Amino acid sequence: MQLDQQQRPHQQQELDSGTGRRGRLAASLLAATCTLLGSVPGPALAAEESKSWEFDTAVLYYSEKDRVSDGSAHVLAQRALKDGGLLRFKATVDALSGASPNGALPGLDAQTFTSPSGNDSYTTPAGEIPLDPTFHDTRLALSANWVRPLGRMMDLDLGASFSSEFDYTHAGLSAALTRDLKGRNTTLSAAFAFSADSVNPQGGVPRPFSLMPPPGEGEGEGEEEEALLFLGGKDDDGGGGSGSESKTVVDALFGVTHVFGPSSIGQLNYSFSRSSGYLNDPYKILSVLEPGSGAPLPGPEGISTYLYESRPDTRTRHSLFTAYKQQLGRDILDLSYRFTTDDWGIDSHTVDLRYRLRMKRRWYLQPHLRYYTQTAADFYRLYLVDGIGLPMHATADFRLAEFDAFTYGAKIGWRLRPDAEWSVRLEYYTQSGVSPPPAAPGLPAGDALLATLDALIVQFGYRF
Amino acid sequence: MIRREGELWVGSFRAMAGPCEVLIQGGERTHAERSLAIAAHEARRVERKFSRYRRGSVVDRINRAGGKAVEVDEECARLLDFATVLYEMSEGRFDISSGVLRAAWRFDGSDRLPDPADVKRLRRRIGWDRARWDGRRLRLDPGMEIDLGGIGKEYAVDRCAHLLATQVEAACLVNFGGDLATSRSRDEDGGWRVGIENPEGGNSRAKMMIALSSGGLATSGDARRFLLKDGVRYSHILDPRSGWPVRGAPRSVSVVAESCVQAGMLATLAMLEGESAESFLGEQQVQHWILR
Repeated sequence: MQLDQQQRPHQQQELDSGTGRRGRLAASLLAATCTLLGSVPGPALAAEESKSWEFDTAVLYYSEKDRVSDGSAHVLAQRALKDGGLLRFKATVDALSGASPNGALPGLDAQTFTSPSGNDSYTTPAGEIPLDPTFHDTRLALSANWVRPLGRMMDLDLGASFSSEFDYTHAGLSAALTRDLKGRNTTLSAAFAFSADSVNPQGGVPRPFSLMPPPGEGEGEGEEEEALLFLGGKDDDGGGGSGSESKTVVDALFGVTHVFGPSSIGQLNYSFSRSSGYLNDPYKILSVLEPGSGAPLPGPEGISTYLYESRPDTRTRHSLFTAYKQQLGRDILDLSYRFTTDDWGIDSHTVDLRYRLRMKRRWYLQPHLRYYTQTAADFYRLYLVDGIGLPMHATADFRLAEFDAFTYGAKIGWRLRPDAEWSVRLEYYTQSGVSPPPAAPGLPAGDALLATLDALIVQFGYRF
Repeated sequence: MIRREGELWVGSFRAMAGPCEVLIQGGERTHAERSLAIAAHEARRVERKFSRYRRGSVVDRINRAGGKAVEVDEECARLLDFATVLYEMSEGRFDISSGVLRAAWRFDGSDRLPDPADVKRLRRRIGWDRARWDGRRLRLDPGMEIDLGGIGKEYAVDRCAHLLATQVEAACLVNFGGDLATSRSRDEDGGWRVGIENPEGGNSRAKMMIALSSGGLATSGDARRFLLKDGVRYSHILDPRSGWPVRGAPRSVSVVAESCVQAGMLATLAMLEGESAESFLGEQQVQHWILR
């Protein structure tokens, strides 16, 4: 065949060298095929296995107004295996900086705060929400997954993950089994994950409800005892914070995905998560106020009294997630809803809506709208009051407060080739807190601003 | 049925006992519908004409001739010529008269091997070399049958791709249950991205993606069809010369070649090579995937 000579010299060589029956076979077969197909010319052979690795990369910039900003880079690499399996690796590097509310109330005077070690301190001017500006951290996270088929209808996905930052390390293992039912319209999945994390802030992990040390003091055990007396006492064996604390999380997920037709698909998942161990944020504190006046309680060395937060050492969360995807002409509608409830008293609802609009010439535009609302944790409070006894648990972390949040945004993508795409995502996140009532008459009411937050998210992505 | 997926039209219909699909690049719906109609019409024509199950088809007439000669038309003659080439090429391993072995072998995953005496009896009714084929008339001994099922689907795929290439402007991909051919390459970038179902491969994630710019692709083998007895796996690929399964046949073989027929025949011949399927395809220098 003329075609062979032109396009496949390597094969022609073999034909010329005449390596016996089998060597000649493809060429004779080609001649017979051409005869069979009559006028159909044998088109050039030009198929190729699609590149063995696929990559999805993104850089993301997240910036809260006047607070934390985070720049991150993500790389996902995956490769289909010959046996039908898949290998997937993910790496993320992010650098966090900026300031985050430490939980204390704004004061009439300037306030001074210290890190758990007592070595770093910062001062918040009067009337401003106290922000801890010592947030500088770089995190590296890696994960690997191996999906392997088990028979024709099942896949097993085994994963391991690891992340490390200055004061926190995480290591996790996961296993997920998916099973297609007859006809492949329904897929059942079950997944389990276990993770072991450890927290080790500089200067040690503060014990729950221990007194924030005055600047330059290090861990002050004496003052801590004093604080407990002030507050009317909670029996405790005393002692300072330890060097590090650990936390374990067990997750389980059961889900079903169903294809309703050629253009719609639905999903329903139930998941369960149980965390135990040290669940506090070692940087969050609460102001202690005097009963009656509501003035900050004086503490050691002229600063006010602040206690580190205390959360329960277990948390059990249930979550129900449902999603529906529908193709409408050339567009795609993606709708999901999630409900979570946990034994800390936080219930949340999330509604997420995306609509992918196919534009001319390989462009698409995907507006995105998300609404989130949560109730406060049972032990969330704005401050502690001296003399009325310490509660079992307390936090002033605004992330455990009652709030609503909206995300508005859009992503625009441009398909370079069938397997390569650029995208830019721009989103605006706005969160508004709900003011809790004062703890007692004469004490300050909540300032909704505490849980108010605006953030901008910009992401550039390239998939190839 | 036709639907839009991105810039492609996806038309589907059923023929040859399975789902058939035609992907059409761009254009208006009416044009896409026309392309789909051309393909569906051709697929059904080939099926009607050559199915051995279809009363009155040319194959049915040959099988019921009872020792008489049957005159066939030019298209059927080309297929029989092609079968003859394959028979010779494979030294008797590819034999369109071997279908009668179905009476003894049922590949249902069980351990029920047939009675060797039954297989031996059936073997007397097999042998393309005993058929009298002169290029126009075919005469089979009474009791012999032919089955073009081993060629028919690939042939239909290439026929459809050919008609679409000559009658339709848009580039099309014809996919009949994993046997596929392109009418022409897509006018942009990397060609047709095709996910082939890996017979062992779980759900959709397990699909293997290939980019096919032109030519055809076919898969031979079915991991679900086998017998298992005393730890030995009997593949459904029978060697007509013994009447027994080919030893060491792969579970499936996929080949990319100039046309779907070319790819399908190379895949089938590789299956018949059994344990040496890999070296066989290595020598053919075609792109292939073998699943053991």
